[in-house]
Amino acid sequence: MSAIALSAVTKRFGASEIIRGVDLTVNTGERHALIGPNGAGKSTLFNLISGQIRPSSGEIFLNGRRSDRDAPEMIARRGVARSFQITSLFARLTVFETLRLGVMATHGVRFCFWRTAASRRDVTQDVFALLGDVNLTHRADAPVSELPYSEQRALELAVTLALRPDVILLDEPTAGMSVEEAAQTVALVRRLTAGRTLLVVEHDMDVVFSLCDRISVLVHGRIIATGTPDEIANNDSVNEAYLGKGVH
Amino acid sequence: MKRALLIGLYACGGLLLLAPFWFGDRYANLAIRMMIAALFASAFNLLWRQARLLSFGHGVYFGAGMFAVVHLMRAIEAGLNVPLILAPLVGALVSLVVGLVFGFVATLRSGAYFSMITLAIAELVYSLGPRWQGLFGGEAGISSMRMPSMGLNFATLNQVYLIVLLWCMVGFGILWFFAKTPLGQIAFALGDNEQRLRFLGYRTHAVKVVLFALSAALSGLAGGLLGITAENVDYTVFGPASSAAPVIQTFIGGADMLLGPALGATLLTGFGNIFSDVTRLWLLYQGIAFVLVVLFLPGGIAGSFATGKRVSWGNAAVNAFAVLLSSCSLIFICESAAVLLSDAYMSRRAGQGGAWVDYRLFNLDLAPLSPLVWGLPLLVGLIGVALSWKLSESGRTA
Repeated sequence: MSAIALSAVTKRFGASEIIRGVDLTVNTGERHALIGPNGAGKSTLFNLISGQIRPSSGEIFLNGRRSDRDAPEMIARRGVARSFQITSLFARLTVFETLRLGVMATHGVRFCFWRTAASRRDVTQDVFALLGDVNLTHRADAPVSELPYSEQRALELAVTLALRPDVILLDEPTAGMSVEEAAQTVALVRRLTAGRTLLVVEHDMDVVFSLCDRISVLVHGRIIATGTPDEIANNDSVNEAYLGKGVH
Repeated sequence: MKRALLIGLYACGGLLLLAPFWFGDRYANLAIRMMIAALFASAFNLLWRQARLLSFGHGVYFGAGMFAVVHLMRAIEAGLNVPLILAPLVGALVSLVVGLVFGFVATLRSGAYFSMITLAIAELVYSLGPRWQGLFGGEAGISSMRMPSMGLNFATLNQVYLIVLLWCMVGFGILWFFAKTPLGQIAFALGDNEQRLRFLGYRTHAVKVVLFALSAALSGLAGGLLGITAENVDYTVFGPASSAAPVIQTFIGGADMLLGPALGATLLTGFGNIFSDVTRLWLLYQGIAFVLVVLFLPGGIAGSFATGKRVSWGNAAVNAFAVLLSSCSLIFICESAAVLLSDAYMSRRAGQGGAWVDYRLFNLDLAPLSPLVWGLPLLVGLIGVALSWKLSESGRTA
């Protein structure tokens, strides 16, 4: 069964058609990259899958169940978590408190107002385990707004993982990072997403080719090719449209 | 040593809270009104501080609690056996239900739209007031009497003060504890980034409804306390003034601190009580203070103390002196204008053939056309402003 399946999905904003009949299948357990030039509709496609916006027509299935009419919180509860391109966390909370929100959600602690959050030892333990995973233990009590950029991205990843999702959507996890930081993040993503389904939007081709099992290329709202990194690198129409003729 | 000091401090605080019990009725009344305003403003600020929801219609929930309690007191007079000490709780419960209903509607939107909906609901209830005779008692309102219960006769406000103190402590305890609970934490995150919270699987609308209802319930508790104090209530409690009061008090006191609204409410209620006897311009001064605080102290009074910036005692003293100079000048000019524009002064002038006769202010005989009368206060005020400005300039370069 496929983790994510889109069939004939289109999205119009007014007169302009951003997504034009996309069919996409991401198999369970695979790492799939979505690449394409700026304005191809990658982020729109992400927003469609994660429930932020609804398709104009077509169907989306997550783990075999139709999802394109569900609210984001319902999709999140079904085990699909996404990160955001522009880091958007909670400015007034500390790193620990931010991550605790994600962990509380997986423990089903939502409308609890008769005990303190600190009294849930199991939640606290999970938070510190995750902090260790992304090397932020020493930053637990720092306000999120004071973290440097790369650590904010790591926290964003940790919050996404705190939901214990089987399907993870990452929107440009290495955007704005130096080469070393990007390499660290790739290693982190590879380690933490083992055994889960990953769909990632990414500009950095080194990251895409080293991380992913399969790649889909989106150009002008259409998927023009899907295949292994080798197949994509040798695909003529992809080279013409996106990678540039001189690459290989 | 430090521990003894702390215990002493708590003991002093406790004594201070209990003091109105032994003083006269007037002080008990003032203390009661301060505490009620403090609880009301804090309940309002539960929505703003945590979820960044700015309600312009909290008078509705305050009033709902007040009406519920006065109705209950009438039932007690008629023979219902409920001790007076439990009456405010009924106000809280009624407001909880009202808050759930109205909150469900208002929190469908965020930001300015949320504020507008709360304002519209308040206007709606306010206009319903004089028409629904049976529930709100029309223009005259409804009134009742406190009946003795649990060995106390509640004839004086000193005994009522004990009930107010008890319930306010419960209310503040709830507010303090709520911020630490998982739901309180979620509410903070909601104020920062609602969209992100939804992607963590939280139903944000439900969170906002619960938060609104809790805030309404505590407002209703405050209203219920005023109900047993005043023993009567009419529909004007739903008016714009009672919805504006917690907003102004909260922002003057410090909206981002747990006790900021309580500080603002206590100060403004206290000053209001003192000054409304000597001047009719109290609302004007309160408005000017509100504008100045929002402009120059965005964190409010409590917030500006808690920034962690070290300010030398000298600077603080100079600043306080500057504020004092400007305030004196402002008060003198405003009060003079109020006298000169009053009907009484006009008729005195008419009696003297239209001449600018002297007027009395602060035990002084003043000539309205003398340059000294206007020039000196203006000069003093300008010195105050210049001092304060100079200080903030040097603070910026340092």
